[in-house]
Amino acid sequence: MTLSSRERILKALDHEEPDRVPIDIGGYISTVRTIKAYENLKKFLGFPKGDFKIFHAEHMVIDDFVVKRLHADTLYVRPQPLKDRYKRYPGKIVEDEWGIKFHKSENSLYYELHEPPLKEPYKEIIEDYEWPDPNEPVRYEGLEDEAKRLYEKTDYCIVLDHLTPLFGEGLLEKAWYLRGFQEFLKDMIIRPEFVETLLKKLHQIQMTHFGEVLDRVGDYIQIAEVMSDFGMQDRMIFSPIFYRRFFKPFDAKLIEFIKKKARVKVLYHTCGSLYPIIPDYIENGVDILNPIQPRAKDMQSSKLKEEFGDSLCFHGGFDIQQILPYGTIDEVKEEAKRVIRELAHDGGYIFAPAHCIQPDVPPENIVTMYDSAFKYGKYPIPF
Amino acid sequence: MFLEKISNEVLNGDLNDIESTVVEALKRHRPEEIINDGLIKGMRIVGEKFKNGEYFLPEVMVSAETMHKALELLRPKLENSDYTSKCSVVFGTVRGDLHDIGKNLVAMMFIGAGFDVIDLGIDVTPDKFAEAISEHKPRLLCLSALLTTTMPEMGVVISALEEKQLRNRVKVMIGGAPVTQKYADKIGADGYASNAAEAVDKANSLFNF
Repeated sequence: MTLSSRERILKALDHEEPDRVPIDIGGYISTVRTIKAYENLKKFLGFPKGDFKIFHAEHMVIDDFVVKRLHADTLYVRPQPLKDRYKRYPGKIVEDEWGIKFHKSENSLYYELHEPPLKEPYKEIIEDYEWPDPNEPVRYEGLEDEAKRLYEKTDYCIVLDHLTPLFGEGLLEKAWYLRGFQEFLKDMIIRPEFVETLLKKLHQIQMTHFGEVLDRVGDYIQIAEVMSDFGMQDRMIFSPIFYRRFFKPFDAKLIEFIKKKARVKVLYHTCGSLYPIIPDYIENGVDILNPIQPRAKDMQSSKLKEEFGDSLCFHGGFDIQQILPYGTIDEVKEEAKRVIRELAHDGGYIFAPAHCIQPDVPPENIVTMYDSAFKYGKYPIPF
Repeated sequence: MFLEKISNEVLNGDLNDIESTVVEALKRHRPEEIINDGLIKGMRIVGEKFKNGEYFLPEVMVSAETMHKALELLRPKLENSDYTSKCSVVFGTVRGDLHDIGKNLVAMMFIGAGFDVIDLGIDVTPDKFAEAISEHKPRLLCLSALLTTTMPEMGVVISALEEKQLRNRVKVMIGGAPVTQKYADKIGADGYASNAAEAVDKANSLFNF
């Protein structure tokens, strides 16, 4: 029996095997990067060049016909960015409404931190700082109607994307954008009370923002995404002890709050190697872990599935560091089979690349990846 | 005793005490001794602890800051001494790439291992690398890239150095998340390391330090 996309994902997230492995494309962590790369993909698929939409720094909104062609089961809702909240300076420098300046170099894809505003690490500064107001209704215009429309008119799984315009990143990112990366990491050792005060303030804004969003879309979404990048390729950025001391209590409160507001599964995105804190995530109520970066230390899919698969679902897993950009068609097919073999049994898995797709990835590799997930993902998995 | 204390203060990131300890140590030891047997020794253990997973970024950064505080006191006193660094190393993140955390970390470990570091920053063009090599005459160039999309710039830098006949003046080491030994071999780099501590070991072995 063929299930609808929504049924397929919900069944998988209940740790049961649906008709086939569900597929995701289109979120902050699973979309295609850059207009040019997206147009190349559309051209390769035989779709005419047409309008495009960007939701955040050349992260493309994937058109419904591409979602359908690539067998994906998700559609996204997200608050729209407010254009008047950004100040632009010469040299591609942009200041957001937090007072954080970002810079994009001519050849780079990414806006990187240019100048953090909180130069003085004193607790008093946090109270006096001009924080953005998450209660402004203008931030949420059209959001409820869009979520309702998608829920009622389609049978896709509706996902609340990372809240990119105001609070797309997690507490950690917001904190280090405000302080500078190295300064914030040193703060954790040198001035832990300052760190606690800063995170508490940011957490309040984040919770209020989530509350506003969920009051509008809570009845229509099935997955809500949260994030903070705690991992690097070979270890966590800081020790699990620091995670438990500074971040875990806030994560717990946020996830509890989201689940009170809406009947959703919570997806937690955290890049890289984070094996030591996976039990903490489970304890905090995380339902889905993304991106399962296969080349990161201790993040081998089969091991994670065996150890945590009963209580945790997985999202991602397809290698984007080597195979997706550089692999042959056969290697891409084999990688799709590998992740399905290692993660898909007993449900609990949504197929996706282990991060959004960079513009140097050949369109044929993108299409082969999704076609292979569709072809080899039929339950029962025979290999 | 003072040298061991300094080494331990670097290891523990003891920012509050390091300056007074260095002042005391200078009454009994030459600055180069304090650097070699205090700071470098401490940073070597920091590097080992990072390599074996015991230390994470915050610990390394606070240790490096402790070392910098000590070096600021010691540098003026080195001018009339016979202290020489191992060699100069030019660092930079390649054109189009604005990431500097990994590069900074490697640079910190190099300073902590007794190299003289010239850091060109991020988004560095091949011409800027070439100019820096002509100007500073380093024996080693360290290139960083975080992205699959900027990694090919490393090959462009090496070609530019060949064109300008500077390639035989420096060894080139490369690193960053997408970089592999295979890629290093492909573009003719002299060395690759997967982490900061390994990079120092690699550099030491390239020059038999």
